[in-house]
Amino acid sequence: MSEICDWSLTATADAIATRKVSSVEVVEAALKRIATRQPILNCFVRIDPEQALAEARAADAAQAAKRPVGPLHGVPLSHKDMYYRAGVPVTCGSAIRRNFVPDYTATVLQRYDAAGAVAIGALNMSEFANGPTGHNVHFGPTHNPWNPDHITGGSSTGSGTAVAGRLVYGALGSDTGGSIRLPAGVCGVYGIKPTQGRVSRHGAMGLSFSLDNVGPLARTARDCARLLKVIAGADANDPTAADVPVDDYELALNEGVSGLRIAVATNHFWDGMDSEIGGILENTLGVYGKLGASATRVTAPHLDLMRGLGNIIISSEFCALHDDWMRNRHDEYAPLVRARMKQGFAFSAVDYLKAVQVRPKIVGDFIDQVFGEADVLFLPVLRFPVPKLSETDVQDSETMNEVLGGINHCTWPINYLGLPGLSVPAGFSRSGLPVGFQLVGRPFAEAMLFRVAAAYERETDWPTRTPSLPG
Amino acid sequence: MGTLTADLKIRLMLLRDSGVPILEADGARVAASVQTSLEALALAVPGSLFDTEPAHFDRLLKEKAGRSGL
Amino acid sequence: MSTSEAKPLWSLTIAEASARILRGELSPVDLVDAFLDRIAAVDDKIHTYIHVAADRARAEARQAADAIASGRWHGPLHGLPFGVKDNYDAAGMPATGGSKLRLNHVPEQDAELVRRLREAGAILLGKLSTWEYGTGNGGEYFDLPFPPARNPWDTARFTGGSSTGAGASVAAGTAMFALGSDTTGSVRLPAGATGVVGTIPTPGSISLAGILPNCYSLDVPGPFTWTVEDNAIVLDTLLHDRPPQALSRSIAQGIRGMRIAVVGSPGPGFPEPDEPLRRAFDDGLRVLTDLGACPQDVALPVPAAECFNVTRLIGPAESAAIHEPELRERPEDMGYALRDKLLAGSMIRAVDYIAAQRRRKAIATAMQALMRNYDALVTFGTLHTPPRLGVEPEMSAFTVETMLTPFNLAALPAMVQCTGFTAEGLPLHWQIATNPGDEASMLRLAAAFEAATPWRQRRPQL
Repeated sequence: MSEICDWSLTATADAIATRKVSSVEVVEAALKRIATRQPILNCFVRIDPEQALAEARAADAAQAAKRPVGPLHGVPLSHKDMYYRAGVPVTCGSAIRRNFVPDYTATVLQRYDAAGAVAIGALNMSEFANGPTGHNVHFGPTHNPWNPDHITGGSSTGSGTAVAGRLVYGALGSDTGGSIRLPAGVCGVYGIKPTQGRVSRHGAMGLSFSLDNVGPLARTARDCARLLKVIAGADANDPTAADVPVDDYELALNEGVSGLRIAVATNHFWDGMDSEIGGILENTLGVYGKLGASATRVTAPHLDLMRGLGNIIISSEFCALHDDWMRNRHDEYAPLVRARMKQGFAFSAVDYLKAVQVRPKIVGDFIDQVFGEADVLFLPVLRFPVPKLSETDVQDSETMNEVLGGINHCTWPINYLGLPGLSVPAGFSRSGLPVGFQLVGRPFAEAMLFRVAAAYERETDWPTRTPSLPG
Repeated sequence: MGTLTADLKIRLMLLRDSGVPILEADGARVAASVQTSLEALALAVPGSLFDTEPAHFDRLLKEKAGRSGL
Repeated sequence: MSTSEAKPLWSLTIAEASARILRGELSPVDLVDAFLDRIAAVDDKIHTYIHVAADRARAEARQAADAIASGRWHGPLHGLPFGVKDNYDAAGMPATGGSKLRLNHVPEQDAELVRRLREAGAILLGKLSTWEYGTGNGGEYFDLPFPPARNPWDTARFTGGSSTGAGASVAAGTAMFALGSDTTGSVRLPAGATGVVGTIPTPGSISLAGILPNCYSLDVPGPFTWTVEDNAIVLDTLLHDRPPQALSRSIAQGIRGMRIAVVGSPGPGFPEPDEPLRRAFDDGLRVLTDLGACPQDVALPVPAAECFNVTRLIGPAESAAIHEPELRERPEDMGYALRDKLLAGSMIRAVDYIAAQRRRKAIATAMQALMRNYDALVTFGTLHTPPRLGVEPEMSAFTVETMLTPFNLAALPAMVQCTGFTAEGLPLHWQIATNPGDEASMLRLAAAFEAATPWRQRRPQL
């Protein structure tokens, strides 16, 4: 029965909907595999098997009673432990919030509930969503399913691993500087950071409200598209959730890429590119060429500014939220988190206002120059093979900024730009670890990203390759 | 690291006055990071960027959305 | 001969003047001459103008007269003279912002609101006195390039600011109506101090284009007029996306059954209002009750003093960001109040600004929730009667201790109107606010009160 765990989300949803398999069978298989793999991967912080089985039984009963089934009916998901559910503890990967119990439920969880999904526990993450590697001093590091000595990428560490490790069919992460796209690329799955404002953040722990995004990780383009469709759209509880209509992302998947124009921004993103990784990305572009798309090298503007401007915004907004704790519970933070964010107390309001005020101009320039002649932008996720946990355990040492900056080098600018970015599995490096690429689009062009990703997926079929783990 | 500019000194003073514990390693790291940010601001906002209408990022995103990807 | 015909032309209201122009009994040429004569007669005592464009005004008055005579009447503002605070751009006139920094700045284009008024045929007489860059917390340092405006009801007293010339000009008859701008009270405070009607409509419903910015997230423009009806007529021309004449047509409907929240106290942190303001307030509530409205006592969800403190973290920070180049390059050319504010603003930390904006959102939510249960809210504007110019602590108390900021933070439309006079003849006022987009309700309430009281019959003796 463990093979069920290797199915895609959409195939599993179809199987449940057509009664080929019950939700209980699916969840039992998942729980069994979780029990075996969790000690190796450490992607869960909380499992709750009884709760999950109760939900699965309720899903089967609802079907038996001929009630209408939603697009995720009976399918087990798990989410980064920063999404509030009334009465359920949410740790945010921290010691400070270890016993925090919210009294309301996040909109995105409500939407997954309404679609019929079953929730299994909650997933490990970098503390307060802050850290691109996968280390966590309170809950222990999460391990890459393709080689447990290696990082998962962060901060949605458990999300990348639980999905790639075939433990659940999809997972929510969050992305403020790369935290969905990095674990997706590093674990060999899909992960989408939607357009700023595409998804409600009501009930999601905040890190930096100008840059935070909510989005799903999943094993196939279709799975990821479905998971985004269910949660995207306006929300009365979140005025920053845009009232732009939500495309049917699954509808776009088979359009192909013939005639599409792909921009490849080589400045900044290809700095120091490892030759093996570069070769894999060139192969990917070759496949797109074969499919009828054209690729053009472009120089994207203002990239040299985005680390500096983004830092002002993320650190100031984080410190505004964490003001009291940073001053009075400083030692309870992971050294890395407080070291990275502390600069937020140094910036003046004028610095912050300028970084925010100039954003539309910079982003306007970027969109005009890059998307004036292109339908999609092609970027790397990581410029080097996935490193080991031991190599990147920098904590708050002197090499912290350099190492972490090297890891989120390609994902960071996209948050300041507010544009949608999708991580897509490109293949594997010689070391046996995944290589991903990023597709970035105009605002609200998530459908285009899934379309372009699906074309590559059909030619390569990476989702059928599974990590060799017991159970 | 070189001499601290007046702007950087002011920022480090704000940090010191904030009451957050500052470890030895924080000093140089924050200075470098803040300096990078100040330089980015100086490049991004030369002179006065401001006109008499405030910037609205969410409106810009909607404006630049273009056609649906389908 | 009716009372209106015996009045000097400078004291006509928009409604009166436009009716007479339409009947052919009054020419814009005579009207504008009357205002220019009035300026020549009294403005050296009250300094409402920084710049008067007399020749151009006369030429435009002739054009208006010709157009109207040949049947091309643009509406109730055609041929009527107005002034704008000197932070507004008007093509070909200096836009100094009250500052040495901009003495020679002459824009080529009108601010949007000026454009709209001139398109409606109104005639811009000149630029009105202002605190430098719309800035001040009450201290009068007499260090600006132009003499401070003086209250026409008592020229030893303050006009209120920062639209220092606007209220005084309408009260004294050096402009028939005026435009100012409000960030934390700069329309309603001078309107209250000079006994005129001053309104700020819903933020977002009125263009800021061409107005020197003070604080992006709080600035809102607003008109000054002698009567409520006049204010409705001007707002009808200024607001975008509203049906034509929507406000002026709706204000005479009466207030029977209107649900009115009454906030009689600022809450902790500010003193209770001066006794004359309180008496006029209570008398006013009796008038409203007699007219059939239903007042109900409520408390502000957040004390006015706390709202003021929140604006102290938002306003100066945004001003400092907007005017950083001037502070860096020419601080010695600034007056003390502006330099002090920009320096203070530059020292505000990002975390405090962000926290203040979060607090502001919570305050706005609470205020809007309160307002939704009522058609209008009546409260005090400032808590003191007009102080002597340059005398502390009464100047700062007048400017700081107000009920004005909660409505800025909550982005609610608000206005002030005259509620009577002190024994010394100084004007008293109250403030009315309402739900977003519902300027009609507050104007209707104010119009009913105005019609039932004699306060519009009294003008300052200059």
